[in-house]
Amino acid sequence: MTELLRTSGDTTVPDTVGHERRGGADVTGVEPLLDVKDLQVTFSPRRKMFRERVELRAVDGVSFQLFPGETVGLVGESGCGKSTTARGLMRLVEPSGGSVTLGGQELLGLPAGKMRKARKDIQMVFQDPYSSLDPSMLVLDSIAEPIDVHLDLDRAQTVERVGELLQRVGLPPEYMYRYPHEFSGGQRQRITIARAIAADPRILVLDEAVSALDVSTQNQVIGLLEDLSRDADLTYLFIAHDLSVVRHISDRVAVMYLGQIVEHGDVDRVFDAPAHPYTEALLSAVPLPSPKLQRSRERIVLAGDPPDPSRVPPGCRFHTRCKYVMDVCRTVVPLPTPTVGSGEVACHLHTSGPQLAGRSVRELATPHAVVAG
Amino acid sequence: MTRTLPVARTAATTTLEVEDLVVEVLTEDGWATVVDGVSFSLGRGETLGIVGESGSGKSVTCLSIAGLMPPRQTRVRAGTLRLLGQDLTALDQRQMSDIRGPKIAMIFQEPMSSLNPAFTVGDQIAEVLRRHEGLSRKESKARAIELLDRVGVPNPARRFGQYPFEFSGGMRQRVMIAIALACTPDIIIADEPTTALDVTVQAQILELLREIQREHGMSVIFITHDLGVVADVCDRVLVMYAGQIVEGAPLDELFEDPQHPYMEGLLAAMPRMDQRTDALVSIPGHPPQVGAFPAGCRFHPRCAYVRPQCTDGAAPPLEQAGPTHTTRCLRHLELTLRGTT
Ligand SMILES: Nc1ncnc2c1ncn2[C@@H]1O[C@H](COP(=O)(O)OP(=O)(O)OP(=O)(O)O)[C@@H](O)[C@H]1O
Ligand SMILES: Nc1ncnc2c1ncn2[C@@H]1O[C@H](COP(=O)(O)OP(=O)(O)OP(=O)(O)O)[C@@H](O)[C@H]1O
Ligand code: SF4
Ligand code: SF4
Ligand SMILES: [Mg+2]
Ligand SMILES: [Mg+2]
Repeated sequence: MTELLRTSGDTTVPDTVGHERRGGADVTGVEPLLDVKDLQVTFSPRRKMFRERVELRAVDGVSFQLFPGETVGLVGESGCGKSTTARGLMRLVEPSGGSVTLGGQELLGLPAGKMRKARKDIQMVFQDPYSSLDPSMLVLDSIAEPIDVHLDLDRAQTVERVGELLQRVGLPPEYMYRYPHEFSGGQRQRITIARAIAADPRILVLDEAVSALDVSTQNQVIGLLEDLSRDADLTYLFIAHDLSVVRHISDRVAVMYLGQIVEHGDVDRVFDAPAHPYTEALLSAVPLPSPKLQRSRERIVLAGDPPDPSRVPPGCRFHTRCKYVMDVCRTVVPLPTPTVGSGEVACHLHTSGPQLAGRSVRELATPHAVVAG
Repeated sequence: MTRTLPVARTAATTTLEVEDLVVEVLTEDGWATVVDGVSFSLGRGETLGIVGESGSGKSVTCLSIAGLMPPRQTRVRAGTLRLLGQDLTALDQRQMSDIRGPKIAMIFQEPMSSLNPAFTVGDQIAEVLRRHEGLSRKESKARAIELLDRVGVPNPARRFGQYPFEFSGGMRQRVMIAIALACTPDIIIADEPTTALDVTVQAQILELLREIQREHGMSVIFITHDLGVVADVCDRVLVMYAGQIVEGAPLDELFEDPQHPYMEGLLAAMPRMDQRTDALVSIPGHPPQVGAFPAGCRFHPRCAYVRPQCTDGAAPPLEQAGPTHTTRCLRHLELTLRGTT
C-alpha cells in the first residue's frame, strides 16, 4: 500500500486539497509546501543471535502533503515509524525510495551543499529539551548557530536577532547570557523553539515536542506554537503520542501503523468518525478525564504488541489484531479509498463485507464486544 | 492543626492507615520537608488515586509507606503507618523487607530499572516465590510460568528463560505485575505504571490491573498525573500540592464538584480528545520549590481566588466539604468551582 495520499495532489480528488483551514481560507488550488510521495526508509540491523541481516522497512510507502500554514498531526503506536518519517524527509536518515519536494524542489538526491540550504526552510524540534541544547554553550550561541549557517548577519545583528527571538517565545532577552541548566523544562523547550525558528524556516517538524512537559507548561508551549503559526505563517508536522493534544493543535491528522499511513483526514472527521479499525481502537484506548463518560464508553483492548516490523503480516498489516478481520484481509493489501467528509482510508471494510464506502467504522454493530488480550 | 481523615472507615475494612506522615530530605540548606502531614486510609479492595504536579510528594509518600526511601538523605520525621493494624514505623529495615512482597508490592514507571538485566525474567519471579513463599526450585518455576500466563505474556514457558531486554516495554510491565502478584499482597502501590507506555498498551495494563484486583480483592494505590487514567481506574482520589493533600473525594464527586482551586485548574487544563477546545488554559506560574513553600495557603501565588487571609500564617487545615470530601481551601464555602461532566 504505497499510494495513500498520493492521489490527493491531483486536483480531480478535492477531498484533501479542498479542506477548510481553521482560519477559513480555502486552499483549493494552492500548491503543497511539502510533498512526500511513497517515502521508504529501510534499516538493516544485524540480528545478534542469527548473524543474518534482516530488512526492516520502518517507513514503507508514506505519502502526505503539507499546505502552507496548516498543522498536520502524525499519530500511531511506538515504533510505527513516525520519527523515521520525519528524519527521512529531512534526510537525517537516507530514504531508500520515494520523493520529497519542498516548494517544488526535489530533496532526495540533492547534493550536500544544496541540502544544507534547503534545511533552512525545514527545522526540527525534538522531545527532550535537555539533550537538544549543548549544556556548555550560552543560550545566545545555541540560538545563533542556525543564523550563522543560513543568514548573512554580523555579530551585532545576530545578538539583536537572538534577543528578538527570545522575546517572541516569551522569554526576556537577557536570558541569552545564561546556560541551559539554569532553565526549567518548559523554558528550555521555548529556547529550542527559538533556535528552530531562528533562520526563518517555513516548516517546523515537532517530534514529541511537548511530551516531556507537565500539563500546564505543555499548554503554554502549545499556545506559543499556535501564536507563531499565526504570526509567522509557519507550517507544522506535529508528531505526538498524546491524541488530546493532537486533536487540539492539528488541522489534519494522519494515522500510522507499521510503517504506513492507514487513514488521514481533517482532524474532526478522523476523531469523530474514524474509518479505520486501528484508528477506532487507538481513540478508544485514550481514557477520558470524565468518570461517567469513561464508564459508559466501549473499550477496544487490542491484543498483544504490534508485530515485528521486520516480519510484516501479509495482506492488511493490521489483520493480526483487527476485530473485524475478514478472509480477504489476510492475503490482499487494502488500497486507499476516499472517506466521507475528508481524507482516505486503507481498509477492506469499505469495499467488501459491509461496504462502508468511507463511512465511520463505528457504524458497525460490534461483532465481539471486546477482543480479549 | 486539626486533621481529618478524608474518609472515615471502620477498622474491619481498612487495609492501611497513614496518619500525619512527615518526610524530610537532605538539601544543600539542610533538611527540607517534602511530605507534610499526609493522612489517609485505604479500604480493602479499594483503588485510591494520588494526583498532583511533578514534585508534589506523591512518590515520596508511597516510597515511605513501603520503607524504600534512601536512609541517609531522607527521613520520616513523624507519623504512623498502620498496615492491617501493624505499626510499620516500628519495624527495622530487615522486617520491612519481609513485608514487601507478601504484604506490600510496588510497580514503577520504568520496569527496566526494577528488573535485573543479568537474570532471566523467570528467575526473578521464582526468586521472590522461593524467598517469601518457601517454594522449591521446581514449584517456583511452575508457579512463575503460571503467573506469566496470568498477566498475559504469550508463550510463558519460553519467555521464562528470556532476559528483560528481550521484552517490549508493555511486556516488561506485565512481568513487574507478575512479580508484584507473586505473593498476593494486601496492597499494590503502582507509581505511574503506564506513563511510559503507548495508549493501546496502557489500556491492556489497566484492564489487567482491574481484573487482578477483582480476583484478589487487593487494595491499590495508583499514582498518576493523567486524569483520564484516574477516571478509568480509581474509586477515590487524593490531590497533592507542595507536600500536602489539598483535596480528597470519591472519584465522581472530585471531577464533578471540585472543592479546591488547584483541582479546578487541573481539570480545566486537560486537553480533551473527545471535544474541540479553542484555547488551552494553564494554571499560571510554577509549583513552589522544596524548602520554599509559600506561607499561608501554598497554592496562593497561583490562585485566581486568593484573598488577603490566604497569604500568611500556617497552611489552611484540611476541612470537610461533604461527608466524604475534604479540602484545604479557606474559601471553599463561598466558591463555586467548575468541574467536568
Ligand atoms: N537507526 C535505526 N536502526 C535500526 N532500526 C531503527 C532505527 N531507528 C528506528 N528503527 C526502527 O524503526 C521502527 C520505527 O521507529 P521510529 O522511531 O520511527 O518509531 P516512532 O513511531 O517514532 O516511535 P516512538 O513513538 O516510540 O517515538 C522501529 O521498529 C525502530 O525500532
Ligand atoms: N531521595 C531524595 N533525595 C532528595 N530529594 C528527594 C528525594 N526523593 C524525592 N525528593 C524530592 O522530594 C520532592 C517530592 O518528590 P516526589 O518524587 O515525591 O514527587 P512526585 O509528586 O512523585 O513527582 P513526579 O510527578 O515528578 O514523580 C521533590 O522535590 C523531590 O526532588
Ligand atoms: S483490512 Fe481487514 S484486517 Fe485490515 S483493518 Fe480493515 S477489516 Fe481490519
Ligand atoms: S485558600 Fe485562598 S489561595 Fe488557597 S486555594 Fe483557597 S482561595 Fe486559593
Ligand atoms: Mg518517535
Ligand atoms: Mg513520582
